[in-house]
Amino acid sequence: MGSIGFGPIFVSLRVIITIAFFFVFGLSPAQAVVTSTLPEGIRSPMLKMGVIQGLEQRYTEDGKLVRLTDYKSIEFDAATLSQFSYEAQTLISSLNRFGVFGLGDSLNLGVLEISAKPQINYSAPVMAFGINKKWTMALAAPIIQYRNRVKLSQSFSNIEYYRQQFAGLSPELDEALDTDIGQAVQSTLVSKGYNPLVDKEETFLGDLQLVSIYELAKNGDTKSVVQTTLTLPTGPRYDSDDLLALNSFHKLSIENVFALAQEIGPYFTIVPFYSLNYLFSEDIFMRVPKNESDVIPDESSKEKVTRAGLFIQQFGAKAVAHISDEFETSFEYKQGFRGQDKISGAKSQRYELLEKNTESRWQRVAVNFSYSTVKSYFKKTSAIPMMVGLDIFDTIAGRNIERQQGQELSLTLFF
Amino acid sequence: MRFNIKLKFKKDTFYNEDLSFLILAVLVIAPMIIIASGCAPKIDEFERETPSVHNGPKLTDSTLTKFADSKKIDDKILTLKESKFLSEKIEKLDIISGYINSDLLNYGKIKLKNEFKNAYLKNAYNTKKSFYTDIVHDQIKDDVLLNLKDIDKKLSQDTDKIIKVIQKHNDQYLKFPAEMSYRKKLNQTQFFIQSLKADIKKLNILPEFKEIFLAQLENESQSLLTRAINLDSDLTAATDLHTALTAIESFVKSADFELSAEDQITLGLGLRLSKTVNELTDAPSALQALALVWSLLDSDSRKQLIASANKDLYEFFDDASESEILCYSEKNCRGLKSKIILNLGVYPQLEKFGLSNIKDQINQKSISFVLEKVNSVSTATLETVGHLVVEKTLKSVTDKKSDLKKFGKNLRTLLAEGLNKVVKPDPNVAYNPFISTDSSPWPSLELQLQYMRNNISRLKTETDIESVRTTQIELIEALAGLSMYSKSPEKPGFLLREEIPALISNPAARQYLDSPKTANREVRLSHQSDILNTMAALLEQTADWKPTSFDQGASEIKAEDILTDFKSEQLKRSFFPKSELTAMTISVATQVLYLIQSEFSPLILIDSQNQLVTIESFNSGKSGPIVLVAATDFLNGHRVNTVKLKDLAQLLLAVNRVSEALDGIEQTAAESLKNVNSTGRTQVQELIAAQGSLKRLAVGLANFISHQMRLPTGLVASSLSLYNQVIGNDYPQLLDQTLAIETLIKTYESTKIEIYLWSALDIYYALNQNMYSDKDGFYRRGRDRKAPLSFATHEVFALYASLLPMKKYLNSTSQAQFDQIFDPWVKASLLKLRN
Repeated sequence: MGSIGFGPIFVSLRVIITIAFFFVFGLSPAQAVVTSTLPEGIRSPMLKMGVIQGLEQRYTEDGKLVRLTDYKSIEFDAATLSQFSYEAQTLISSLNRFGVFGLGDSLNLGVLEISAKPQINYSAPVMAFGINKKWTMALAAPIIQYRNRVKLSQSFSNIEYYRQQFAGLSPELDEALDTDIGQAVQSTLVSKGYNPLVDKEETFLGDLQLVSIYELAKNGDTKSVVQTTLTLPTGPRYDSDDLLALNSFHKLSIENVFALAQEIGPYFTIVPFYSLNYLFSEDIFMRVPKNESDVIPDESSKEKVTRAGLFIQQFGAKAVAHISDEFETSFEYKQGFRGQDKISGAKSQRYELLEKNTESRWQRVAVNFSYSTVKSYFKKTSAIPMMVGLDIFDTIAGRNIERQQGQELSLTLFF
Repeated sequence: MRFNIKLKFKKDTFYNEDLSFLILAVLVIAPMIIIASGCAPKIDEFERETPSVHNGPKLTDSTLTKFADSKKIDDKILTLKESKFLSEKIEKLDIISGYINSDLLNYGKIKLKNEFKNAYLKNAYNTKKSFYTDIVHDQIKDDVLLNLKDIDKKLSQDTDKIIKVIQKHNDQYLKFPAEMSYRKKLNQTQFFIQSLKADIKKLNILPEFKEIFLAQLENESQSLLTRAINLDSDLTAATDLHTALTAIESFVKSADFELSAEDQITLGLGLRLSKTVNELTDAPSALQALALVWSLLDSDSRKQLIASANKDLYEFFDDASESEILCYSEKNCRGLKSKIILNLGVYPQLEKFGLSNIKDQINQKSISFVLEKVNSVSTATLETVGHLVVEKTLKSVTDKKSDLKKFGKNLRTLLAEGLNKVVKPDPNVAYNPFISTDSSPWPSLELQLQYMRNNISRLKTETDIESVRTTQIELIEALAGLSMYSKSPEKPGFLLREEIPALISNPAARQYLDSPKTANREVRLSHQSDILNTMAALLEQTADWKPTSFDQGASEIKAEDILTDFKSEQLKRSFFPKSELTAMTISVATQVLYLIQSEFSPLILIDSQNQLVTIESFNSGKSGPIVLVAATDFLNGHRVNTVKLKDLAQLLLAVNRVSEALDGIEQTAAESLKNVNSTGRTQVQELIAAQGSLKRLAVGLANFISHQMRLPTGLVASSLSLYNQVIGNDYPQLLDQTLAIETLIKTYESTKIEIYLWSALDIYYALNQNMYSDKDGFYRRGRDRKAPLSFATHEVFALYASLLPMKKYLNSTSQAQFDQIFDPWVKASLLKLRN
């Protein structure tokens, strides 16, 4: 009978940590649209430090928020086992022949929980420069510290009953009943050329961003701004052998944000905005599944494929409350939509399987508290002009996307 | 958080009517509160628990309300005697005796056995044609002959050694000087004997031979010396010639000593003389005595003794011819002349001389002569003691060698005779190692095995040691002869009797057929099961790793009790060594087990795709996992398509029983089981491994019964077509249900796999639902509900025995119901038997 193989048990493990990762001036979960430009000749170095959590939670295709551990966990009941493994099918069929009680159908190897706890800490030095009073340029170099704690566990299995009943009957049966799914997973991964699922911790340079903020018009309490962000592929490439890799970098994209800032009274500003981000086409080495159940393709399926360019749109509004000269708080809400990947390759493989569940939507909120000494500096009550901000953000709804929640602390100087 | 911050910093503006702050509160701060206070998205929690496995039978027991009354069911019970075909009806006896132990049934059990024995066991044991004796003879023959040859050779060598020692001592002690007195010669002879014994003891010769020789030397020499000493005493005390000569004659005879011809004549004449002298009452007797004296003496002695006494008498004899002397000595002189001379001349002279004077003179004068003669004779005798001992030794060796030769030649006969003394068979009945029927001297294998199993059961209750031994020896004989029913699957012929010993010691795959002489070539699965079942039962008695009745029974009989004419340390062992019986029992079982693993196996395996797999394919590793095992008969060399539940159940019971009986096999002392075979493993190791295979086989068979043969009603089918796996049209039979229950319970108890317990209970509940008749208060045999219900007593017991092991697994209500169903029928059956 032999041990039960669990090659096909992964249902897009990679999704766990495949997040849309744009920040700094882009559609960072923390940073909303910027509507202010620097005065001409003014330089503004800035340091952003943030943490993104909640990536282990995901909004499913039908909009439910689930833990990825639960969502991606697989219950190895008889039906599942029968689909995935011939040996398991044989075992179930064999057990069903013990009496007429469907003993094989009751077999349940339990739930394999792949518990991942990804966390991203980033720090991004930014240098902005006011070219003129309407146009500000900035360059950001994000440094990413990525940490992921992975644990494979098997629970809710009734295999012990079978072991107790059938232990010693035959070496083959003993072997089949002694299957540790976690071990089987790791073995299968290694045999297919993947890195084993172990804790991960790495630091690397992300994609550099070149940002332009241009004030289109200003009329009384109203101001319109266009913010253009060019993201350069300087981060790590897509790694098809590492299921825990972020694989969100090395993208070339350009994004335009159109924002209209409307002051309402002395204390309040509302900023509706719209963003259109174009993700340029890219060539990536990916593993192409053979079929729907081949969610952990063999190394031989690795191929250089082309992902066509696609648009990401977001719109929303930010409400800013100017509490005092120093303190300000804001609330931002936005909705986003990312088009489905279009994958093509030269080997006539089933590239459409790579496109599945890549179309995503999200709704995010963020609150910000900021403290600024700029005005007090002008009043000569502060030593230096600076601004400190704290952003708290969360994804409150979505489809096919991970929840991202976190905080970002920013320090901005002006000189 | 709330608004405190804002109150603190914008206190003055809070109270003015600036709507913007209100908007601020609504649009900015409220959502913050909402997020903070838990309006954040809720995680959809997964609720899981460990899936349970079905934990009990599917069906439930029926509540039955009508039960039989034992007083009213008497007419529905048939006794064994009323059964038409006794041999068929009795088939369940061993099952009954094997499982029912309650006092209630004890009477019925014994009575059934007695009926069985009276019906079939008509012949007694005959050791001359005993299979076991053949086996023993075959086992020891070569060793014995070789041993005898060695002993023979050693005896010759030892004899030479002894003779040399005797000659040495002879030269040293028994060359007497002429002047040595008789008494001194006697002492010298005693030294000779003592010294000889001491030196013989030091010799490196066969201990047994040495012992015999020394004993013989002791006896012979001591006897001779005693006689010589007695002669000396007798002669010293003798007052007349006759007493002295009689003593000499007696000594010569007792010493087995050959006198020279001259001495023999002399002694003969002397004895005649002494007799004549004793009877000397008249002149003719006196003349006769004188004539004898004359004959004994040489011329000088005649002159010295007779002339000095009476010159005339001397001249008379001197003038007489030899023939005249002879006739005087024999008192048969004839002729007138002789009569005149004697009557007128000699006799008056003799009377004048005085008859008593003559008598005294002869006695007085002849004693010294006699003593001289005695000295000569006894010296010669003592000097030949050495030769005498050598002669005795050689004779002893010759006798011993003859005995050995005879022993080797008649070993088989001696074994039979010895065994006869122990077994004490009835000489008036003909020999047959098997139980026989009136119609055939060769009973069916089935009957023979039943006979064995009932004998085995009897051992559990028998207390008389003689009966136990007889039963055991009958069992051993039946076991050894069982191979006569078998044949090699690869050869057409049956086993020859002469081949049995080799087969027992080196088992191979065997097919057991119905009879040793039958023309019926069928290989019945039930036969193989019966063999296994019987061997398992027998192994419970013959296993040498645990105490059984054989320890004080047959195995207590020593080989020296059988071979009483031959003394050897080796004969101190048991004639029926338990370890040998263990090996024999296992050997027969192994023959069937080997067959089961061979290409001629009655088994057929079924893989997970429902494909039939032969044992050959399975052994070659060409098949997938097997969880179903079926088995069928072979008819005319072809596998029968029909799988019968009864056959499967019996095989399963047998397999379980064999597996259990082999527990502890690693402790056996049987040498043949511990010898390493060509595969580098001992048979013990193979048997231990076989236990695992037997367990798997039991599971496979139990699965076939509990899965393939189950009907939608929950009952089990009686038969199934092997090739299309379709259940036969036969209506489920009552005995099949109970047999299935019994086998599944036994398999559960053996494997602890609960599914078999559930299956057994399911079948029982289905039995109550489908086959119980309210009208009769018992189970119907089959489909026909209108047919009159009748059961033979053994059937009732068999049904009860089959279901009894299950009873303890029922709940208390069902247990009570079980008793209500069976009690009246069992009681009625017992009453029927008693009557």
